[in-house]
Amino acid sequence: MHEASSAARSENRALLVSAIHLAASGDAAGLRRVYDLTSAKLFGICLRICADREAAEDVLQDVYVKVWRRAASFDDTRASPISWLATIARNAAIDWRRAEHRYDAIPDEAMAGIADDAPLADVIMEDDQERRRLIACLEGLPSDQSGAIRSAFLQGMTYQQLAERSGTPLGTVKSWIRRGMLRLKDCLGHG
Amino acid sequence: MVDAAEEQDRGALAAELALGLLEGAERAQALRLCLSDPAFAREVEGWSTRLSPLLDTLPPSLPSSRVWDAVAARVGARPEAPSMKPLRVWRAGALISGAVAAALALFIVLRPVEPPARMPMAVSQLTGNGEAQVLAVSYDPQNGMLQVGSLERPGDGKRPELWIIPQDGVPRSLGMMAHEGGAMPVDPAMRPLLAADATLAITMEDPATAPHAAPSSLPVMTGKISII
Repeated sequence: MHEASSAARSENRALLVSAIHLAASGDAAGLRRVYDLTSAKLFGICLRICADREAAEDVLQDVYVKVWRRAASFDDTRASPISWLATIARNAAIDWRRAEHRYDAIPDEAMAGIADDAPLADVIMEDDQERRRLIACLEGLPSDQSGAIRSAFLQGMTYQQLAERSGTPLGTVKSWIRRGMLRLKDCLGHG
Repeated sequence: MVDAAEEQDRGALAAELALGLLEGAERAQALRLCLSDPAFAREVEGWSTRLSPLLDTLPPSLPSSRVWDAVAARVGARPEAPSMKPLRVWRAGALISGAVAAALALFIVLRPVEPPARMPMAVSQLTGNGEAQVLAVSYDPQNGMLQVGSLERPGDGKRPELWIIPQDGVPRSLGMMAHEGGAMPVDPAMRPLLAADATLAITMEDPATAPHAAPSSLPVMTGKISII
């Protein structure tokens, strides 16, 4: 079963890579295919970070226009297609939050999704080995550090918001993040 | 020459930018550094790549169809329906010329929590030839149902088809209407399009080939959505 799902995953990945290449050649049908394969996933990301459906849809629209413009620069030897796309989506959503000065708190349910490492129903998933390793490394950190990193990355929180939410001085939050990130880098062993 | 402390600071800054923690001037400065310092930019990218598997843990969610339509319009793609161009013409003709046969008024009725009393709805506008034809339509977002009034029956076997035209100007069919009016369920994918300032239109179409990707004729009625 595991083998079958990993075969399906690499097939999906190949499909997605070829769709991005088609888009890079200027064929909008390629972009449409990328959209069909990934829009639910990327919308989930935009929705979580923007915390507003309409804004998330506007951001998602920009994401696919960016994908269209940048498709030619996608290099599948350097990044998996879904993490390339997910990063574009996340960055666009963060840009929107910073530009809108939206500092209102977002519900904490992001945490629930992380604790549960059961495979999700989405057809295009990152190779879950990488995800498990990241989660294991995060779990190895003191909870203050890993919690701050997760909230920043998945909810788009700023230092200020993290400090306010945890009732902790800004300097302490900064040191959680900095120490946590250093340890994370060591744990992941990516240079 | 970059000393060790400075290098460490830069590493922290790259991590902070990748996490999205920075705001205001700090963020602007870090973004500028990305452009001017490729090593810094690679460091930021490295962090994004390392953390990106976390994004897989977020639940997927379906966006409304307006997103693709807008993307397609912006990249110059033709969406599935080979209809963008004729529709532009159709829309310009329909909405700008004075030849529009009648005005269709649609109110989105937001049902108050309690009491469940419906608000009245009505509007009228004269047709080009002086004959008033008014159709009241209400929409209840709670159950996704449209209530439409009755229409004159033309003699040519065609039936009215209702279209929603959101801000992107592309009509989407909401389905064929009964001449005698009544309740019309709205496809869940279309519901988000029923928003203030979207336009509703009715064209007369052949029921045998419904639903249609695009209207075949000028609308006989149009109207803006108002929320009351």
